[in-house]
Amino acid sequence: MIKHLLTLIWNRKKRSVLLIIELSLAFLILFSVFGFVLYNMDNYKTPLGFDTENIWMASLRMNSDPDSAERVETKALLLQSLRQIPEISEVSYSNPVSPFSGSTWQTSTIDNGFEMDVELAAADLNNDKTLGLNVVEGRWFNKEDKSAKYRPIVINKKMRMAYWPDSTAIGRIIKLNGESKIVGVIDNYKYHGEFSEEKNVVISLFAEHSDQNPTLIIRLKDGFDPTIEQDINRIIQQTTKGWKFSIENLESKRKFLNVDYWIPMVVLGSISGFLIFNVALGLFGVLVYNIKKRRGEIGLRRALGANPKSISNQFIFEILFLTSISILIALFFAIQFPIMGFFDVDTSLYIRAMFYSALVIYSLVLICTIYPSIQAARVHPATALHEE
Amino acid sequence: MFKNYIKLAFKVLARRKFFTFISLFGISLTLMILMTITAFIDSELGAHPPISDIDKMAFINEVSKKRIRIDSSYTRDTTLVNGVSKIDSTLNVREVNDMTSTSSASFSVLDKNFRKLPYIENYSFFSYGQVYDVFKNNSKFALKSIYVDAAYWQVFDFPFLEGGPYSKQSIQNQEQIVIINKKTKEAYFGDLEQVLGEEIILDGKHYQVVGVVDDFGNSRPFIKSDLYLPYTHIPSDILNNPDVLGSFEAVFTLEKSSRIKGVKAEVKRIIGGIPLPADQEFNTLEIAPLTLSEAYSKSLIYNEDASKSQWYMILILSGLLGLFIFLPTINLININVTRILERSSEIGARKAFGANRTNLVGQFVFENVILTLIGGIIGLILALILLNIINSSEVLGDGKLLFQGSTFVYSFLITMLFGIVSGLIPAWRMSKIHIVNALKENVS
Repeated sequence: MIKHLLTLIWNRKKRSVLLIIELSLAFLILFSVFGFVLYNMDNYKTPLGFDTENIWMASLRMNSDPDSAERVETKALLLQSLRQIPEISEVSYSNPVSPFSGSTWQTSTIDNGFEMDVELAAADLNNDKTLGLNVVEGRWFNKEDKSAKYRPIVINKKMRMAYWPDSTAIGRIIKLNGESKIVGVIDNYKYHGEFSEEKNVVISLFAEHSDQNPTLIIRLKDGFDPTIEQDINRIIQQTTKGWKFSIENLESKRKFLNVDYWIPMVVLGSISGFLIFNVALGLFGVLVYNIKKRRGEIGLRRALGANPKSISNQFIFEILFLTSISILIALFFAIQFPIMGFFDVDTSLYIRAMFYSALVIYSLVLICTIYPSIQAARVHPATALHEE
Repeated sequence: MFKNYIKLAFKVLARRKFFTFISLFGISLTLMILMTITAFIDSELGAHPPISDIDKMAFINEVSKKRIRIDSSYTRDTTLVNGVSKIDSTLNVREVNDMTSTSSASFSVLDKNFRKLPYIENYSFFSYGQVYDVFKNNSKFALKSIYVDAAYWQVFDFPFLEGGPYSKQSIQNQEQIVIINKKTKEAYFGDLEQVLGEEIILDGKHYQVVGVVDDFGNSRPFIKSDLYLPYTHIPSDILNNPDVLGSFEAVFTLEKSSRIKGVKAEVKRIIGGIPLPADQEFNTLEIAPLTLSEAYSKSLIYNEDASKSQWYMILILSGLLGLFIFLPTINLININVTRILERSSEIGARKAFGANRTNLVGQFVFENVILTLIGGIIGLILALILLNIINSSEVLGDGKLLFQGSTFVYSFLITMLFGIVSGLIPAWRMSKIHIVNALKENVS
């Protein structure tokens, strides 16, 4: 039976070429769009690791005044005056590598033949409470750390799992801009945005006398009055006497950054959706026509004892067979991506993208075949043969 | 004859409504997307005010200092040869770049070295400034600022609504003046019609408005700003900072666009003589003037050589575009083959009465072109609606997509081509069929 069906398909091979090219291309387009969307959504699913609601941030650009003692004083004074405002629940500083700032500080180090690629950030004692960081092992920085023998650092869970999967990371001393001791592990810290990949992050203590421009992070109490921003702006201006700054809302910045990822996904999704729909319509039209053309053949088979079900099954089998050939051809190209390693992503991502693309193509093809194959099954042998 | 063809075409289209719908759907949506994409590229990179001279512009937007050192490594391989171990050692010597610092240029490095480049008609140095928080009527505006010199207003032809550019003199005198854009005017001054001479307060300092520039479609950061301030307001210690990295960028208008090679070579020669700060370990300086499309491509697909980035960008874009047009074309061919097969008896009859191949192919292609034309018009209407939606929803921020006649012409030519191609192949196949078979409708 199958052999017979294959002969039938083989006899119509010239007609099917266009269909196969079309379905293969459709698969490849779906594969790339699914790959892109899945990559982004995988990143999106891991938590940010810090809060964005009710948090404001201002990166301060200090005067180029060489008197660093005065700067330290100004910074402390600013924290003090901001804490007086009842709406503010917590304030802290970090270095310019702060959430959504766009700044990165990368370094790689070789420690005992161990190569580490990490991203560095620096934050002060209150940063965990201000940003709502989740310390899962050890602790956040405390006052004693300021005079500790080894430079204290807090790392994220990703880094802990990457380098010390089976043992504890707390208390380890690693060579990273000098000898540093791990005092705590935080959950996630995706400071580049929700769609960014989680990296290995090392947070060190942001010293009060640092020359780096500080980023002020302010946590407000629930239900605060937004006009308080003007007061905060005035206080910063008066206290710092001419430092440059702009206050940003972390929640709106999060949304703003996400737009850059949503737009390409939506645009690519709708363009490929249109292409696939187009292909489906064409397929449907051609199938309807084909079945009309093959009435003679159907009539003959019916007259020789085939039941309606086997007729419609024949058409469904034919089209599924062609689809499978198309997908196999397309897979040959798609599989080159993981083999050649064009992009630095997990192989499972490609497999999922292939699976979803195949699923979409098969279901579309099936939907397009149902109506024409029912039409075919309804053909009455007498009328069909009479026409012939 | 022609009238007959048209009549026939419409008859045929009306007869098989479903196929006509599929064809029109494919053509019009393809054209709509093509036009929207071209409109986007045109708004970002096309020659419109304020970058009418874009073909002649070159930018220095990035300066890198690197530490390059010679790295020698020694590899030893031990192999067993005839039962005796043999040691095979290789010495590799290569250049390694182990430290790079990249940023915009400092004012001093531009000021000292790039004021007298050859083949240059005009040039300007500018610097992105801070974002100012401005409070007015209990609401906050965050205003982006850019610090510019007097030549900036000659290099870029901004459309002024009120007032005009400021002069070299007022820049040197550090006058407290500012040029604002239309959005800022509306946000800050509300319904006030004339705002020349009015004041804006930024961080407690008063600035007098001397000009208002109109909105424009391009979103390139070196022209898109809310406030344009004289660069002399930047503190002098930043302007005099001897480091090569800073916050400044430069734009040059070339005599002719082909001069870019000469300018690149000259810049390369000049940077050989620029001393790097002695207290740091960097030993190599890299500065390369780029055209706008090179800079744009480099920001999307990073490659040290910007012309390669541009090349990759063109390859990727045309590949995607090709794929995007190819699929609907195959679909259309597929449908057309089916459509034409349906009309085999008509073809047989026409052949029997003496129509030759060219006549038949001509007729089918003509019908297909009519269909493409209708689809093109629908596509144009859809594209205009889509552009309107995109512009009013402000998903692109302040950027407005322009719709140019040229956009329509290019997209239309592409669709026409695909109409002809998709009509030609099936028609050719059909016209080969023997009269008797055609009349019998025995064509498969």
